[in-house]
Amino acid sequence: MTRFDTSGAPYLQPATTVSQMMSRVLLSLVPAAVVYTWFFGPGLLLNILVASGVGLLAEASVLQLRKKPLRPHLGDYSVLVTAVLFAWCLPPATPWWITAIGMVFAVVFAKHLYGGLGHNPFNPAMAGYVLVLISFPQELTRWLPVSGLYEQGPDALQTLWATLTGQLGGGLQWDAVTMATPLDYMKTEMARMTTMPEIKAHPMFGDFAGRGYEWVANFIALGGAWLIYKRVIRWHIPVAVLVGVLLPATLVYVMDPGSNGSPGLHLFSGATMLGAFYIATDPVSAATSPRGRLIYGFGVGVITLVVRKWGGYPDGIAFGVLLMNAAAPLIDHFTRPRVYGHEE
Amino acid sequence: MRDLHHSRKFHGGLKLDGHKQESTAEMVRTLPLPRRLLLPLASQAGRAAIPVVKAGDRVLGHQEVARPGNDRSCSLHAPTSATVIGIQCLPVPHPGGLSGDCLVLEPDGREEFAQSMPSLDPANLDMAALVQRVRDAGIAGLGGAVFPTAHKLATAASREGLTLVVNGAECEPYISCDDMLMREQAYEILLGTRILLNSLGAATAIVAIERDKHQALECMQAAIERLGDERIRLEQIFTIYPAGGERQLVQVLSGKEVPENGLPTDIGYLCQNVATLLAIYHAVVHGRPLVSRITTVTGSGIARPGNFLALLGTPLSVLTEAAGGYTDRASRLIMGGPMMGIALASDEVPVVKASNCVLVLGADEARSSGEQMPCIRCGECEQVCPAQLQPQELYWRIQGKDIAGADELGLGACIECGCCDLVCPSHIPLVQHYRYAKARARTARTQREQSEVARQRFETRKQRLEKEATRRKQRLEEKRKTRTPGEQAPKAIKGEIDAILARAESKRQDGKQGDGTS
Repeated sequence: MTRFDTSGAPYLQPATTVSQMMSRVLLSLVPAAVVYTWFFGPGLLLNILVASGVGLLAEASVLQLRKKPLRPHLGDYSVLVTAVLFAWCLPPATPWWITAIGMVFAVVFAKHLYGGLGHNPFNPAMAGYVLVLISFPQELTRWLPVSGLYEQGPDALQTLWATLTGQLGGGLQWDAVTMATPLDYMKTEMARMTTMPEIKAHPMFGDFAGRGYEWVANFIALGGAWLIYKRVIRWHIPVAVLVGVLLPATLVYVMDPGSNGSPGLHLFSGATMLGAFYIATDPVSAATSPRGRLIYGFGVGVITLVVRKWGGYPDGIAFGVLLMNAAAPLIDHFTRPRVYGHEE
Repeated sequence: MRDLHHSRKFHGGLKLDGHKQESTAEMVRTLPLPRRLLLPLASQAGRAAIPVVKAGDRVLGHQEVARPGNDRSCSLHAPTSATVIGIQCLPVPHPGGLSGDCLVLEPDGREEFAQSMPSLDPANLDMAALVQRVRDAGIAGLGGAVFPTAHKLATAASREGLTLVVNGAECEPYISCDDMLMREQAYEILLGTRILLNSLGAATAIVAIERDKHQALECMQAAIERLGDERIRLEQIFTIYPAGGERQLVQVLSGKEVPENGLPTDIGYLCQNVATLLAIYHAVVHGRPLVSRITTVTGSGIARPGNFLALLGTPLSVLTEAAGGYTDRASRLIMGGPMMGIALASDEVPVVKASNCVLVLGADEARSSGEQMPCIRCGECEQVCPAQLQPQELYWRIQGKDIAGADELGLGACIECGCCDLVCPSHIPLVQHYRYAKARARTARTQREQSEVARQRFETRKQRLEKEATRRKQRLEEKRKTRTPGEQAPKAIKGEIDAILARAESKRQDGKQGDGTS
């Protein structure tokens, strides 16, 4: 007589795993990373390398301290997703120790001190990013120009050198090779009362946003669409974030096109696309009910635009995400759907 | 044939790979008479049945061998002529793998049957007579929930204007017994439907079948045309799990939800499974009790899957053997479907009224009890929950031992369909958590009710004592008033009273008693 296993129902194999979801997120970013590298050199890849290495190390050490098994938790790839998203926010050729500090903060403080995967109230990548943004304001504004715009951009070797030492080799000066991002430039010029058409005349602007940046944004949106198609993420948050940016952007643009970036510019500049599809959609720190996700995403979008227009920073996705993270439990509380058979 | 546009949806659900064709290639097969029949006395809903035969008795087929323990349990009948071996505690189909008292019969192979109950006129059968016959025949819901049909019908009897739903939606993967029944005995199912329609005085019966059951749809449609009863119509519904659940099916057909803690009859619908209706037909017209059912034996762990007409009490090993035995891949034995069935340790347990399927999953099909990850709040469970719950929130509350909180969020609405489990990327056994919490919530509720009763009793007693005390005071007062002032008891009497009082005092001091309530 055979004895069969008696663990409970259901008995069918589950549809997916955490590591599959996370690896799909990573995979979907590959095209955008290629495009980024094409336009801005290998700086992003170096950032990712440093962030991943430090992230895995930090994760492993904390897991060891917490007496948790290493294999399933390192194998869920969540720390790699955090690393890639964090690295993506940094300027190419960011000195390695800045990346490392942000990553250690993200993994140890923002993630594990709250209980690890699934328990962190704040998006770890954004917590790490905001930490370094506030701590290293100068290094975090050293963006490289899109290739082909100027001759003197650093080559691959110089980028590597800069990442390792924080210094540019070969007699190059930071001031000579770095350049403001379109949003940054717009902010500074606006303060000088330059009008939008004049600003847009700068060669860094492309068809609808910054040259190079707009294509990276396109490919990020493409990757995000694939994630929605694969049901790794749901449409609610990305759509709500984009609407949250577009709606107020259109409003102020219609009122005063001379001193406001066009809605399209806002959509394809900065971290709008990355934020909408990859950062705000981090399920752990977002709202969970469908209606809640719409509110949450919309909040992220609006805060982003408010920071861009009236705040002290050129971009505001990180602040939008962190602030809405704090609001997520409240949103969930008030947006619970009506249970079957229950009255409103 | 009414078409799809009419068919509304319910929240969530899953499109699952049906795996029905494996077991529907052949007609329903019969089984050899087993050596032993094991009839578990315990029933799912009510109290255990009470045996009315003793060891050594010879019983005829269709003879009642156990009567219902209460109105929520069912009587049992001998499937064939046999000798009663006795009552033994044996493994039964139970989610906890428990054993239970079984009436053990040894068929004598003569297949002699007791005289059947008198045939009733299906056209003029009042509800009370129908309920009584269904009770006598020991019929329970054959869709898998095995709630006593007599009880269900009795609660529906008082309702006016009910719509009868003939449930031919067999939504769990692998199970095909209802499908085969509709293909082979469509007309008899409709005769049963008509009996119920007449007795209920209901205006409509909707036969609900999933759109991908082409043959069943055709057979039922042909039978409806043949019967020519205007009240019965066919409705195709979407193939989505768990559309066959009573609450979901009613929602699909009517767009209405069964209210919290309510029944489908509260919103005018009475659901009956197709096999139950066939059993009602046989009970009313042929006077035959429920002694057999069709059981699907399938899964990649079975060599020749198919459907079998099994006598109740037949050990599952007889069925698996008849289906060609196990394959090398066999790893899980399940009674019922892969979403809500009961995992069994061995095939020694018998077929019961609930046994719609014996599923033997191969190692590659079955879930392995792998590493469970933390909840990442992805909300996939929320998307598929047909009760529109927030499974993730329930889970967090249960983890935080906040059972009352989970209850407040609607835990009671969970139908344990398992959709959330299947989509959870962290492989958290959510339904197991909900079952545990529901049991805890039930216990807490009973305790609350009991303490409430105790409190009320205490309060009533206090009030009663207070009332008595005031009444006594009043009486004393009145007595004092009626006594004329200055009146003195005669001296002789006074002395006597003093003596009595002294005696009473000394007595009281001797035997100190605890009862202070005088």
